[in-house]
Amino acid sequence: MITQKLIKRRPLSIELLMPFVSIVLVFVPIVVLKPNILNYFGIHLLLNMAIPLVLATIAQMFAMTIGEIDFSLGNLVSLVTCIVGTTLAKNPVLAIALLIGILLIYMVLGALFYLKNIPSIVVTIGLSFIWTGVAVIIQPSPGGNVPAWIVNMMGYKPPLIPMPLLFMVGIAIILMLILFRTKFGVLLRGVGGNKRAVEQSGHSVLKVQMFVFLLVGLFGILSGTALAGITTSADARIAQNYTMIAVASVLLGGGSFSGGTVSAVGVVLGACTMTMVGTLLTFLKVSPDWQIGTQGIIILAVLFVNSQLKQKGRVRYV
Amino acid sequence: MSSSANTLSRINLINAYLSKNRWIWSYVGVVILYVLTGFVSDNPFQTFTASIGFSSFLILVGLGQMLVITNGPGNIDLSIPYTLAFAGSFSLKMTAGIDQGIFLGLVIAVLSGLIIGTLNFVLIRYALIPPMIATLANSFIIRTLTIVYFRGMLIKPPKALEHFVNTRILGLPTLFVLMLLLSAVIHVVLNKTSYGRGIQAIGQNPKAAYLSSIKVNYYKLITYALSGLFAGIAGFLLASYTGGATLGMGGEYQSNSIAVVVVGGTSIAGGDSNVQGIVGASILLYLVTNFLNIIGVGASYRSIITGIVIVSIILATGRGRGKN
Repeated sequence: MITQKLIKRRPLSIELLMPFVSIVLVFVPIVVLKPNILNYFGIHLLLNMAIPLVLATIAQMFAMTIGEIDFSLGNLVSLVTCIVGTTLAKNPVLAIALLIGILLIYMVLGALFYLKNIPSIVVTIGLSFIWTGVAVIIQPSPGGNVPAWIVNMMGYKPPLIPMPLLFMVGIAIILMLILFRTKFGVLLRGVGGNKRAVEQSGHSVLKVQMFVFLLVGLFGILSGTALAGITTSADARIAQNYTMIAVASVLLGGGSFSGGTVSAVGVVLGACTMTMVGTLLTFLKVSPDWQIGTQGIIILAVLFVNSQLKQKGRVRYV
Repeated sequence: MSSSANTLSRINLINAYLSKNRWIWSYVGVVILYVLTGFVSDNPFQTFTASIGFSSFLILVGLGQMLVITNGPGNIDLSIPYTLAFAGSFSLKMTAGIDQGIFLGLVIAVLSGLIIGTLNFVLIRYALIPPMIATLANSFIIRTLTIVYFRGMLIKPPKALEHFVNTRILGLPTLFVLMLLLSAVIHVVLNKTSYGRGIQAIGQNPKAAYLSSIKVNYYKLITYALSGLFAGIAGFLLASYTGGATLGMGGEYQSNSIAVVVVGGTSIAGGDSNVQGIVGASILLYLVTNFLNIIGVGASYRSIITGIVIVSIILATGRGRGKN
């Protein structure tokens, strides 16, 4: 009886509620300020810009779940807008080759991080120089010509339910299935929690790591494509702050730097919250000068509450 | 037979030495680049001194970043660029462009750096926010303050200061010589003082460090404050060197400060630091840029090649599995 009590699963902890609480805290003021946002087109506009950020956040989440980080993500997303917005129309074969090349580079790096035991943060810093360099060569100044099918796809308006909303629900379900219903998902979280344990149970950490970085590259490419479709432009610097906003979104969604913990719904909600913070500040008529600082304060406040909930009762040495 | 065994053991020795002293790679790079510059330039020494002139600022912020990274996994300072811009703008404004104001400017630069660094520590320790996000969010706030209070003001640095940062000692830029001295001091601090040994111990195992009564919090506070301080002074000097402070003046120091730390052989996992490497890697980074500039490579290709250099040095110096 006692043992049964001991091995009983911990009930859903309060920290899992954080992403829900924070999105409500941002969404409610938006609705109060602009009640007419609560219709089909309002929701479409509000959430459309969140799509690329959600995809970038998922990319960063995969890296962070195994305790790594991609410091070049924002540069990659920008590069992809250039490839999609410029090269794809002019020379489709080259564009596809470049995208496949990116995926291969990510896979090779994933293997090298494991085999040579090198820190992903520094290699991806080097990578960020390379992405931006290539992007500027492709598209020296913002412009380009995004193929119509991508623009139409991002502007798709299904009956009744706005496309971004459908997308958010769909991607959350897919993510949940990947993370919690597949062997890869178990291994992924296992590598983040205890690499050695996964190794000694006879699984190849190398394969997991290569696949994880393949997914980082893939979701980075999806994010860039979505962004190009929404902004209809190729810009080598458009998404540079995605790197860190994605990290903040993962943390907001219940992930952690040390890896192992992850929440599919949390990640999607976290990225939506981060996008809506910008909208809210605009609605509040905060001057553009103050916006980035206010965003900083909001990130700090949310993570402060988050950390207080998480750390309760734990001994800290540092 | 015995001679081949001898060679083998010698190669092993060299390998062991290189893997223990990974900072050597950055100096190897500097020598190669210097020779390459000799082929394309009439006066390679001039290119070299120009590079080390600019590398002084990178050495300064790199030392701060190194101390932070020494504190172990996760510790990183992403507030450096806007600390630099804020301190540079604020301090130059306080000098009012006259020589009598230099001291006040320096005091302001030092104080801004120390306060921002302390704030970083408070956010990390007491708000329990991961350093990467804490320092970044803090720098968002500082960026806003810089925009609001110092936008569009290009304040000329005082004449005497502008002259000083451009002087040379024995053909080398004075600033660079000063940074060498500072590096030597930091080297001694790291290896001989309780603070230096303390942060290396924290980097290796914070729990063990705490249990052996190392003042973990106090040392971390000093570390983040020092990183802020170095960035603040770098802002003051850089603004004087380039003829005025701008909002974007610190941009390149974000990635570069981390890159030189690791290219210089410091472990990103903390607890194992290397000062000589910072100097070598900083010079290398600017030599690469200047060399590519001389042979007429455009900015975007320069960026790609810089990235390749950073990635390949990291790959060359990787420790291999299980040797961490």
